Amino acid sequence: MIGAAAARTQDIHILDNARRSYVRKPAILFSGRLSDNVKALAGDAYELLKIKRVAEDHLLVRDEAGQEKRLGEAPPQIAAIIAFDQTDQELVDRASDGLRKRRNNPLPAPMLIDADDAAGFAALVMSNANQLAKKSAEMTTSLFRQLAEARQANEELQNRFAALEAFIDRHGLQPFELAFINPPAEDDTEPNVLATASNARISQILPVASSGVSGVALHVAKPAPRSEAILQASLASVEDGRVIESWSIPVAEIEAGWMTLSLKSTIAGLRRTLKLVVSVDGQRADLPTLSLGNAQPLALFRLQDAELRQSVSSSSLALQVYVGLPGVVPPNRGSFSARAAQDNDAPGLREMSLPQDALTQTQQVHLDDDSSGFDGVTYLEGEHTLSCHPPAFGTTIARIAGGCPAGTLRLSANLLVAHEKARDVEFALVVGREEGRIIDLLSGTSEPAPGEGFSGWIRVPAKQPRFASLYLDAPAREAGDLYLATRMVDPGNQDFAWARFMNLHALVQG
Amino acid sequence: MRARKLNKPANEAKLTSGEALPIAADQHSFAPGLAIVIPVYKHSVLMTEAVESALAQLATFDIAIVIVDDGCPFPETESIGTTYATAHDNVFYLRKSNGGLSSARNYGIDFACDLFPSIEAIYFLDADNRITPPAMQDVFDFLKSRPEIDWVYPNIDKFGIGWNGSYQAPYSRLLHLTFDNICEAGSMVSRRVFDACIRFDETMKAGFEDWEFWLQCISHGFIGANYPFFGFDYRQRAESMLRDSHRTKAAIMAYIREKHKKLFMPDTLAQWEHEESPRFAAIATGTYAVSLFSDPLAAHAKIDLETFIDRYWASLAEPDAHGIPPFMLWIAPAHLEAMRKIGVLHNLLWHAERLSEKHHLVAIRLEHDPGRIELKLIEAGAPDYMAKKPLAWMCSADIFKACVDDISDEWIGSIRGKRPSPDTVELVIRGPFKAFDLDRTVLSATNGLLSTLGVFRDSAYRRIANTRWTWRGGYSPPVKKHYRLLREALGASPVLPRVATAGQAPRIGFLLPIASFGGVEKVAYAMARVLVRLGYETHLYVLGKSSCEMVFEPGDFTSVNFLMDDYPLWGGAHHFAGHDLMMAQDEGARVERLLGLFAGLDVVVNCQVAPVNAVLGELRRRGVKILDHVHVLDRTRSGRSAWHPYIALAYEHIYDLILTCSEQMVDWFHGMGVPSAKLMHIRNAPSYEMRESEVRTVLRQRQRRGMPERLKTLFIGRLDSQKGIERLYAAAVIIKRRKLPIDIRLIGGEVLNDQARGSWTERFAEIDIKL
Repeated sequence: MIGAAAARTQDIHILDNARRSYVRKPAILFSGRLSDNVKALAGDAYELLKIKRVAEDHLLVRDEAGQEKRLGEAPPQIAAIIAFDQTDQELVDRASDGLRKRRNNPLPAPMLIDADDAAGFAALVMSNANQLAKKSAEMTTSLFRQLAEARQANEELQNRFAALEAFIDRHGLQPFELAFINPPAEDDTEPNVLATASNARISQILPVASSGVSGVALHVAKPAPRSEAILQASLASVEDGRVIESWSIPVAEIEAGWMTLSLKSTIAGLRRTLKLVVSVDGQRADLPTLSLGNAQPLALFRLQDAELRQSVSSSSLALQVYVGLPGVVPPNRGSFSARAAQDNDAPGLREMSLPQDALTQTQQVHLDDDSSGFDGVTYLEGEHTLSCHPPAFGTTIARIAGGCPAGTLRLSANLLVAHEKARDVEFALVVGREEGRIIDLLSGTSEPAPGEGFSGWIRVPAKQPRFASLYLDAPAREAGDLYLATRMVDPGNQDFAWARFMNLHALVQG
Repeated sequence: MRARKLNKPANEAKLTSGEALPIAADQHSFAPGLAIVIPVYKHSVLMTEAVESALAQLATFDIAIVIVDDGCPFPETESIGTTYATAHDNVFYLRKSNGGLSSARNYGIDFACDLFPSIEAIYFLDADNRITPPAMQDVFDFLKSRPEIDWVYPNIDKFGIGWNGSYQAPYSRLLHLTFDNICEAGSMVSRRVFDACIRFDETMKAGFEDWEFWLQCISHGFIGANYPFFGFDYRQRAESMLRDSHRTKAAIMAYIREKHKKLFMPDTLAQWEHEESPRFAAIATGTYAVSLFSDPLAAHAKIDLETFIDRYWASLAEPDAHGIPPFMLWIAPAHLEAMRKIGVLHNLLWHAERLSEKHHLVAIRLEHDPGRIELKLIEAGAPDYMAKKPLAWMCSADIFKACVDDISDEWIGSIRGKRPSPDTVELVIRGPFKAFDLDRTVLSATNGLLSTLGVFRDSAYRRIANTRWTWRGGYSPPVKKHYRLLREALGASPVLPRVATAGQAPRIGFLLPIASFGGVEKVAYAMARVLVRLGYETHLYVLGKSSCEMVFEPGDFTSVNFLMDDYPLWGGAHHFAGHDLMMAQDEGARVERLLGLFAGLDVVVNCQVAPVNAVLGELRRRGVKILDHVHVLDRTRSGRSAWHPYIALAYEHIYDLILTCSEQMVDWFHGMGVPSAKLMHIRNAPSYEMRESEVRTVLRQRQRRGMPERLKTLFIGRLDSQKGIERLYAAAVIIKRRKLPIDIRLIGGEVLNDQARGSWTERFAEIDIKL
């Protein structure tokens, strides 16, 4: 059957007065007598449409079944236009002209072929098919060329991006920011939600868009150090059903307080909704208790049983969501890396959280005569954060002995005023060669000397997390003290000024 | 995990683990459950992203992908469309003459519905947009799980010029008509809609054809819902068809409003407000059941206080998606019912709403008065301010929030006393209440308010308040501000909270300057009585006073309404034939307030309220029939004919009909240029129709008495020249002078100021005739 092998299914849209019809074949438009030989050659591969009339706005044709159809538009794929009799040539030419007006792509030229010339018919159809194949090949090679260019552009972007990541890591320009915090409820009397959910599987819609997210922290109220179970966590984007990251953590390793689940790399791309699913594999007799936040009025964000897709609590999980630039590695301590995490650390540099021992020993200091007697510094055990409540007038200063480890290039912290009714508070981080320099640096009467660093005063409105860093001109040769300071922007009323330094960490060389 | 197949041939499919292998289209009978219609015009290359995203769908059902080339002049469109149709059995490429986006979508709809009886829904994907792989399955499931909804629309996630907007508020027709097109064209629409012959309007080629499409759906009773995790990506560039549409938005909207006039009618919008964003939350004293309504007399939702608290805190966190009514009311249901009985309930709420926006609190008190209905505003400092215990309280939700936030009880707690610290006004309603209605208040509304506050303050939600969790920005206005959308749409403020019921009889409003015992009033009341008998619903509006004598039967009017304002009954900055006129733009016209007060009326009969003509033109434009009732052609002191008939001439254009008290008046108007078709004489009738038995009794009594020695005469009416009182006085003087056996008695009063002639009461007294 000539042409059958080369024929490809094709939709043809034919407009009929009575109804729209639809065929999946290339069309052969013809006029005159259709010989049996030609019919046999065309076989089932083509729709044979006999031209009956050419009107201003349509072409009237009749198919092999004898049905008449009005073609308002040219069929997308036309294999041949043929006059089988000289007397029909004028009709075929007019039909071809009419179709050409309604179509952008070229049509096969109308040809005159003797009705019994099966070979001529076959040659014409093959020739037209060849032209179509050539055109298709041109389109394909054009796409190959465009793809090659896109590949090269991608390669160049990759290289530029890698260089940018390395620079960011080296200079600590953009480590982490706390984008959202839902603190544990103070009167947390909720049951162990993992134990109450079907198959110990819970899910939580996150309140932050996916783009930029680099870590999620959950708060553990009660660990289960003797458990042999594995806590599984996965982060998926809801709209496209993609699992972005997953973690497997031995329950026995989980400590009380914030547990950070860090991503291999910060999520890029379009902004999507994130869902965190947490479950426990293995022995479920001894499960850690995840803390819940305060009561949640938005049903969509209440903690759900992942199997039943129903709320298991009237609260959300207590959680923190961190964001950063792509490629930035989160602090190691207290965090769990994604499954099969890659080592993205630049050689010689590492990010580390300040040791908990140092934080628990933090003391309030009074460095000048004006220092208020107000006692504002407390380490909040469950949250791993330092509370540094400013006085109504003046500054509260806290000292973390050894808070600037040897080799430090940068010290950073997330800042939060944890009560909505608070007025704006200013925060600062300072490293000074001697204690007497701290007031000078904080008051702005002196610039940091070599070996010193000052973050500047960072203004933090209530419930709007901010980030602060201080930089040393060269890696600290030996460990020193880190000073934290807070003061009211508008002195006089420090009610509810619950100032918090969170996620204190250092970028250390060596 | 449910098996899903990739809507793509097997050799191209990339499956994630756990997914079932695809079934090639030719290996099973192709019976798509869904069609994705992709209209293409000049997006020849970007269309590949749309088609690829459609092919990448993970679904348990077949999907037909229908590309409609709307006569695109670029050859690539045809090449690419044909290529996809050749390569994929479930892709259909259609090419048609250019007819615009609506026509292309309709072409695809008809094709899909004709060819595939199995299709249950159609999704519209514009050629430059994309969808995520699970989108169609998820949305299809959502649509099928909610039989009450007919289309599902997405949040908007724009790429290119990035923007993310949350459209998660419960679907609101009020919002959809008065705010913006909250439903993107990229929505999934149930086949029911297309079977109802709804199609895109092909005459709309400049944009917003999707908005109009949804309005057609609303007209047919269909409604939509948002699916919050849709997976729809909208490509936004600096310039687009949508941006062009915004440039000509006013003209397009004018077309839409004209086409869907019924949807934009005050009745329709008010009904939707009542159903979707009720304006009042009435907390029942005692039970704390919360009724949510705009119109308390229409069927409405009732929830418990706990649910209301949930909604309150959710509304603080995400006010665009959650809300409580903007006004809160503490009242016993019995008192609502008592006000309904005397017809003042809607008017009371209308005033209280306005006052709640101006003051912290509105205290409401009911008092018994058998002969009149009155609304009285008492402000701080007045002698009888807070003299008695309020029976109800109203405040705005904003004030309530401030009280919840402020945990000290001192300020709000002072409402227990007679000198409350909050700025409080008192609304006193006097009327023929039954003692039983007023006494049924074992529990105090004041305690109800304070107790409610206590419950809200102690809520566990308080600690998480005001934190937005939805990361997309809220696009819609706060739910509690929807009542303002209604106001803006109607140009009315506030809007009388009265909605039409099913099979509502036409509502006729009678506007009176005052409502005492005058002839104008009596004719109006008589007309109302007759119209009620004929099946109409009548409402009384008194614009110049805030009280009315109960000289009508309770059934004559469904409601009694007062403007309760310092409304001048004459005057204005414009002049016509020696009369001062008010126009809509004049400050004293009070257009917004009056349009709000008259909201929902089908017919207005203006019974001699001159300044109200300033707003009647706007009412007429909205389809309300406007009638004028003219009672008398007055004369000035110098004998010039004047007043209301001339006012009617000035505004004749807005009147559908002028009703007169005499044939003579009909002639006068005709002579002054008013067509006969606009004139109708209302024949005089007795104010009080005596029953036959009463007539017989009176005649019998008269027979028994016999003929009196002196003729007893009685005049009932106003003592002023308009009633010809000078002629009566002259006759009385002659009777007295000649000592004729005639007794004269007068009942009535001086209403119009007849200063030039002095007091008629005194002059009659001088000849020993007392009033």
